[in-house]
Amino acid sequence: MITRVIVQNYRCLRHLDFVPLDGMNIVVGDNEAGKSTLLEALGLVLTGRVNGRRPGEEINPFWFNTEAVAEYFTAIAGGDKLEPPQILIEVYFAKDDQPQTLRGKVNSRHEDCPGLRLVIELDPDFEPEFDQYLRSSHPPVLPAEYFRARWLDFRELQLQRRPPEFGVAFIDGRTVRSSSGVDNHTRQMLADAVDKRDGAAISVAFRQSRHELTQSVLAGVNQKIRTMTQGLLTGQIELHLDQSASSGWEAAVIPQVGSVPFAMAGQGQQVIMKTALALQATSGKTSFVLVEEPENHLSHTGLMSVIASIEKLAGGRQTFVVTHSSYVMNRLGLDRIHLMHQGKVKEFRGLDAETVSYFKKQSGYDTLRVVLARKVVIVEGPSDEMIFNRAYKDQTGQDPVDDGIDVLTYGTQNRRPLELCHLLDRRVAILRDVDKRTPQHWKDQAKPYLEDGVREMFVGDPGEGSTLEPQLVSANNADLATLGTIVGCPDGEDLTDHLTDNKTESAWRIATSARQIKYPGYITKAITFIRK
Amino acid sequence: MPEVSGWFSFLLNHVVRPYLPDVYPGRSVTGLHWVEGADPARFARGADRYIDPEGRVYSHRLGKLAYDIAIASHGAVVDRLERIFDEIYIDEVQDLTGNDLGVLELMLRSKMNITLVGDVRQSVFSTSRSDTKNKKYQGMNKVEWFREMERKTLCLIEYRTATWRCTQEIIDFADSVVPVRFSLPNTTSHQSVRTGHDGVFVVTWDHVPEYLEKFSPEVLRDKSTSKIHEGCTATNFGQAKGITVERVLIYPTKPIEAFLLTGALLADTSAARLYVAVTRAKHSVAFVVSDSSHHLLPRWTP
Repeated sequence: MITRVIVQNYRCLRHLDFVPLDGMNIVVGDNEAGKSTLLEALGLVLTGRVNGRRPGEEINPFWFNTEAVAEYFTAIAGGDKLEPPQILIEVYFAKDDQPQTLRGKVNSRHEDCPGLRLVIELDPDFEPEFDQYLRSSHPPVLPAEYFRARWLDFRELQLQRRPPEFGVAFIDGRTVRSSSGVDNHTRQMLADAVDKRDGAAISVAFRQSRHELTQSVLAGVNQKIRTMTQGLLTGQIELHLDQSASSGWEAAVIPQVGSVPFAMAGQGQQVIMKTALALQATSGKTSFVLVEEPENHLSHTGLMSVIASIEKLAGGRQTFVVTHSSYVMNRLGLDRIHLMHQGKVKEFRGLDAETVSYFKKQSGYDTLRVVLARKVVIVEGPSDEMIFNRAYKDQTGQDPVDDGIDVLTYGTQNRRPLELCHLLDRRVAILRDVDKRTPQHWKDQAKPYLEDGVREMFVGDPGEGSTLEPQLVSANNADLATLGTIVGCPDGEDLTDHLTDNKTESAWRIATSARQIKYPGYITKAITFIRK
Repeated sequence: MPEVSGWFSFLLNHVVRPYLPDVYPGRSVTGLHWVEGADPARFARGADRYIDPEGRVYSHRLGKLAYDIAIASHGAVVDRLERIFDEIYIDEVQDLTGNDLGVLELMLRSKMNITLVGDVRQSVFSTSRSDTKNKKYQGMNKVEWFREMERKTLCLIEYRTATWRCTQEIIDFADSVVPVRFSLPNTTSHQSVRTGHDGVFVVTWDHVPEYLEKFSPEVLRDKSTSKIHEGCTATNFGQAKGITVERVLIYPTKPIEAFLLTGALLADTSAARLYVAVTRAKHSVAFVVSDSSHHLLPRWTP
């Protein structure tokens, strides 16, 4: 089990200290928060490969954190003597985990456990060239050519290959449309899925069949070529199939579903196939499953089946899922979330087990918005949302989203999202109708999750109406004609009745009208509060 | 999968590398710096006494570094080994010395099954010449260390007293080279082939060419500066360790010649070197002497 991941100076991850859970881990965050980079770093340090090659052959200047590089160059320009930035990726395993040969204390935390680290640093052999580079006029990037990558265990001993004790399956939502048929991750999983003996048998038979092809059909073709080229060349040109070891069966054998080759399969099907392969490839090993945005290219039913497979995969395996989908998040368990923001991971634990299972059932809930928003306003319905947004614009000249405020509609069932906000320590304003109770009744009910100045509830004054519509009428008592015109209330009809009968339509008219109305006190108070 | 490695690599990879930060944080180890002769870090202090600027550990202080780390790790070194190995076999254990013995004792105290194999009478090499810890157990005295471990009930000693190589005459002679104070049991030969020239002999200097011609023995000498016949190729005692030949011809040192003549006890190291030289041969051992008349050993003449 991976107990910790430390990443330094790798792409957008300047200092990352990530403590995953056993079993399922879900990493969520805004775009550019570093979620995929985290997964990439994990894959890199666990397999010692990137795109199927050793990292040393793939180092490029953009692997280095731009901030760290900029700071370095500034310091150097200022005359400081400084070591160039290093990329460090470390995985720590539980102390008792196999293989114990990887165990030692040579890691940035001096922790005694098995582990792997990837260090990308200035190659001492290139120090003179690097100094020369610094003195010359150079682009604001590090010359990757002078850097070396060392893949080490926690004894600082270099590894040549991935320890056989563990398997890594990388399932990404990216799809293949190339003629080569299968991407590297899938190819690796394919090779892992076939055991050694079967692999050898396939390899021998594959070579045999190619030999036969050369002997039969190609023999005729070669005869023709010979007559055609006679006298032109001293040697002979013949066509042969490649018999070298590198042209192994793995390159020619591809998975196929329902007689459709992998690359030709639908994008969703490719993801499903990869998941199925991973299930096979990592069976019986201490293994890690990395899943990147499983929701990509999948229909809702496709996603449901992939998530079911991922859950099955996770049984006993430590799994890391990066997602943008609330469905994936709800389904796999809200208590398994790691929140990434600007290259850092934030944990939140202690979510009530009942709430977790509630969201598993109600997987359509847009929990991701709650998780990602900086400030949240929870309202009851679509009409409340439209009125709130317009009131906000009228009061502040901006849209809520401009201030990082997400307005969410949760009906009257606001307890669960509120609990989530409480654990995430989000700033929240909850707006609700007083209905047939007192404001205090509702506040008392939500008490465990409220906190003055952080999470407050705003309930309409009972004297001004039990729902939004009578509240609007009370607020605009001084100029009911304007409100009536905006919502198109026919002459003679009671304005409150009209609003109540045409809730959403009226709210939409108010929200899009060129004219402004007055808003109930609890709404304006909520706006003032959430802007603080 | 069993792992096979030399003692130095074992100490480096399983003791020093994993827990070096416990003793010298910030230093790293890249390999071994073989030290033979002068001490390159004689006046160095701290980590520099053990590790050269390129990160290589000086071989003669590797045992001390390993032992210091094993102690500083508060049991982590042994715990780690126990989780990797069920059994450890160490061959030529008589060559371990000084602080190596400290590491070895920690291993004997662990849950692992440790099997040590060696012959103290062949103590001609050691992992460090300068390690002064456990000085009283140097060379053949190592047998007393094993006996000490047995008294502490950390191990059981089993004496193997049979040889399938040397004839009884040769092995009896070899046993007589070893000082009696070590109370090592006598050896029994299972070599039954007779060749017509079997046992231990003396050959005078002028008969050597004929002896070489007739028997083609492996020629052994103490060191490359020892005087031998011109045109004759010889192997030093130390280098002969581990080989098996039909016959050997030995150019004795002064003390060896004295031992042959009077039975005067050899120093431990000399005894060990002679023991190794003699026990290379299956059938015959001949010593080159200037005058064979006073020797008790049978003399060979053409």
